Amino acid sequence: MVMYMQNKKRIKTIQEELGNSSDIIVREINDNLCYIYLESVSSDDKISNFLLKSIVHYQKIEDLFKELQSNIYNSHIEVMKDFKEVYYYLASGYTCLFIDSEERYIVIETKENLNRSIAESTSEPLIRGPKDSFTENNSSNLGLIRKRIKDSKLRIDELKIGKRTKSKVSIIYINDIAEKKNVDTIKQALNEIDIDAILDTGYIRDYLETKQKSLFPKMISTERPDLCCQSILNGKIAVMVENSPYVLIMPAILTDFFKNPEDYYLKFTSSTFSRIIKFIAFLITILTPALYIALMTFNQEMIPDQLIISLATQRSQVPFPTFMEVIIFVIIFEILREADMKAPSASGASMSIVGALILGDAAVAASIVSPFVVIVVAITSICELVFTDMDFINAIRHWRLLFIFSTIFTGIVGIVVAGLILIIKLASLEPLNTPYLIPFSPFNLSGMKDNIVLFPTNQRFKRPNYLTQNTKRGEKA
Amino acid sequence: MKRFCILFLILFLTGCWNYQELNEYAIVTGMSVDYKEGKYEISFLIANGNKTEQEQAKTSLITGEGETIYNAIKDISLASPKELYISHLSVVIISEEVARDGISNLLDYLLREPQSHQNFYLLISKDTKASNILSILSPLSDYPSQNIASNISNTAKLQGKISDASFNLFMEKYLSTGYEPIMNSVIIIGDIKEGQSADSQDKTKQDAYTKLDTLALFQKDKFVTWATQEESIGIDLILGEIENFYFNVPCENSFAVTVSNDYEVKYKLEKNKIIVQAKAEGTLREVDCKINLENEKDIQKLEKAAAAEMRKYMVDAIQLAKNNRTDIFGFGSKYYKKYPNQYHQISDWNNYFVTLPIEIETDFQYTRKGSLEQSLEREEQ
Repeated sequence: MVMYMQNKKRIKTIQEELGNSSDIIVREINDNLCYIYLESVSSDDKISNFLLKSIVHYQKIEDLFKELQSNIYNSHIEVMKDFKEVYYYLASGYTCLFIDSEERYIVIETKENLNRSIAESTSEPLIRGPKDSFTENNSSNLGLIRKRIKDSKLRIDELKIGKRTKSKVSIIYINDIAEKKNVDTIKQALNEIDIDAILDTGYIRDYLETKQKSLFPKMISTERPDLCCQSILNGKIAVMVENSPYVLIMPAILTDFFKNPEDYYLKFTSSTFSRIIKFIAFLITILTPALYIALMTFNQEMIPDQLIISLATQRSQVPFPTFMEVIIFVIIFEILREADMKAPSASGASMSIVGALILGDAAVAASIVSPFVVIVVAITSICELVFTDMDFINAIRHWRLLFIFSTIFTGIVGIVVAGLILIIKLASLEPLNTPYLIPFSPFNLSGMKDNIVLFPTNQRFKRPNYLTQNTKRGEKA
Repeated sequence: MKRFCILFLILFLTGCWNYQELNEYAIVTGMSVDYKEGKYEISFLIANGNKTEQEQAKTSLITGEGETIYNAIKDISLASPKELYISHLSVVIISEEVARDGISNLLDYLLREPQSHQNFYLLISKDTKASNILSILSPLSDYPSQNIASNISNTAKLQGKISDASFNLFMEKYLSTGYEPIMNSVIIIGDIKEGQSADSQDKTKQDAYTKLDTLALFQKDKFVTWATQEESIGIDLILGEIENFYFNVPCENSFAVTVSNDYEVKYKLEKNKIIVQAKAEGTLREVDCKINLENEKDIQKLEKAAAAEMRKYMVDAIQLAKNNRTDIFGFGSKYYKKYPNQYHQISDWNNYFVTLPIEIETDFQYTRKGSLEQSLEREEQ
């Protein structure tokens, strides 16, 4: 009877600790055997089929624990000693099986499937390439990577971070490609995290950023498993957080944001072309509003003869100075976009009518802005859309504003100065000891084969040597 | 933070130096220089006037008077509600009277003015006031000065009668030793008064329009004389600045119009003689005689006639220059580069130029006959 008391005590402790939560289910099979699980995260079916069926006929047997251990119809069972662990397993959807006569207990995986199925990527869609994307399910995410890289050297190191959430954080890399030093740096940074909750990879990003401050992202954030695998195979390191479909890939350099996983699936000529287009778009989107202000208010002599007259006539009715005009319109557009992203798709149509008609047409007709400003802001925002990485787009937006502010006071000179600051800033960044502007600065020949110009796959036998010492892709290299 | 503050301060301390909104400028695209009662009368053609109904800019002409060029321009700004902006000047038109007296003060102003871009055209108005030229509206382009400027740049290489004489080229010749400048001229055809009204633009047949005319010869900054059409071709041929030119080659009783599409000129300088060697290739464009175009000998005869015709133009041009004692061909400059010592012994190059024998050798070859193999008159037989 004393033994029987122990199970009772355990259940009581658990119920007290969880505050008599309504989803706690306790089933006592007999005096000696009972199990407990949380209804909300566990599958009743699984418990009935794979646990209950196998244990219900056990009565008082001498070595019940051993017997159970080898006879439960479930592939994933663990024997636990530490009673404190029980809460983590319960919350993770495990069923805990207690035997009164035993100090140890058994946890059986009976997770309810609370995940959406693997779907097409919404934020980084491709035309030609695999359609799958990461989901919130950690193990299926890992599966998507393991499925692609069937290498024994693929390492998935797991940590649990967050006092309350106890989220699984996985560091994924290939042992003989990734630099050991970088893996250690990341692990150390992750171990130093002291926070109660990790709900998304966004929570750990700030811990992984190096001390250098920059608006430009120093890691790629993607939901595409193929991009993740491409990066890992090049010697980068991916960090995955449970319940987040976005994976962080480190280190990222500037040109990574001009690349697209699709580049490697298409013919190299079209990939090269699209990268050149992206580079031009990058310059346009970051410079156009500033250049417009500079030309309109300081350096009119640079405008071609034909254009200057139409520009001057267009502006003749507008009461605001040019920079006000641009800033008003840029800010209005940012608001519009912010609203468009957050608004449910049902109200999207009315948004676009208001945005396109009222802002574009009516503002010009009412002489609040000149037509050319609408063109400038429109081309700026269109060029921005060629990039998929949100952090990179945000960096562009901020720098664009910096360029605008420096031009308001000094014209073209301001653009030159801000441009210099931007280049110096970028050149000084070194995420995980990789220069941000490599392979341009410092010049790196091995990186040039997969840069703005992409060489065909059968000419790229080597990995870029700034990421790894092990550059051989094949035996030939 | 400290660094950020310093950066921010630097921006604000500039005080928006040189800041000027574009619509506060009156964009000057044309300028004309006349005399009026012994004073300069300068007109500016301003391109960004009020918007018309079709959202097009309306041009306006503002005139000012003054003892000097600058005074007259300041007089204009009294009448302009916006700051005058001459960076986009495309033509400067000078009246014959002003040009005869010399334009060195105008050139000085145009070079000295910091806003001046120096890539405009200089023109002389022939038989009319310079400001009239600016006031003739053309339906083919938005404003009169643009009309003239694009006319020059489009036809200079194709016509052979006018020269691509931009301000820079004029100054280059004006400032170099042994080189006298030339200038294009412009005339008005039709009724000036009618042509100035905007209504005339709507008519299919315009009341008046501007047209490029023959070249004007200068000695230093002073206008000397006009060249005729033929002499203009001759001048351009010797200068070699053209690619295409057309001329009528005598053929039996009539003409065979020939267009040259490849032209090259070489100069051979000797101490007391200059040889000009011109070589051209061309196409027949209009044949009005019974020549047998399939016969090699007839073609050769025509080629010889063409070469002789070219030579005639060039001889005429040289005679004109010699008569007016102005070396518009820059022989002096070339002579100076080859024989600097001899050049220094010559006190006045233009005097020497008059006596300098200049030999001309011309060569012409037909490469194509156009789409017709034979002349039509011969086909008829």
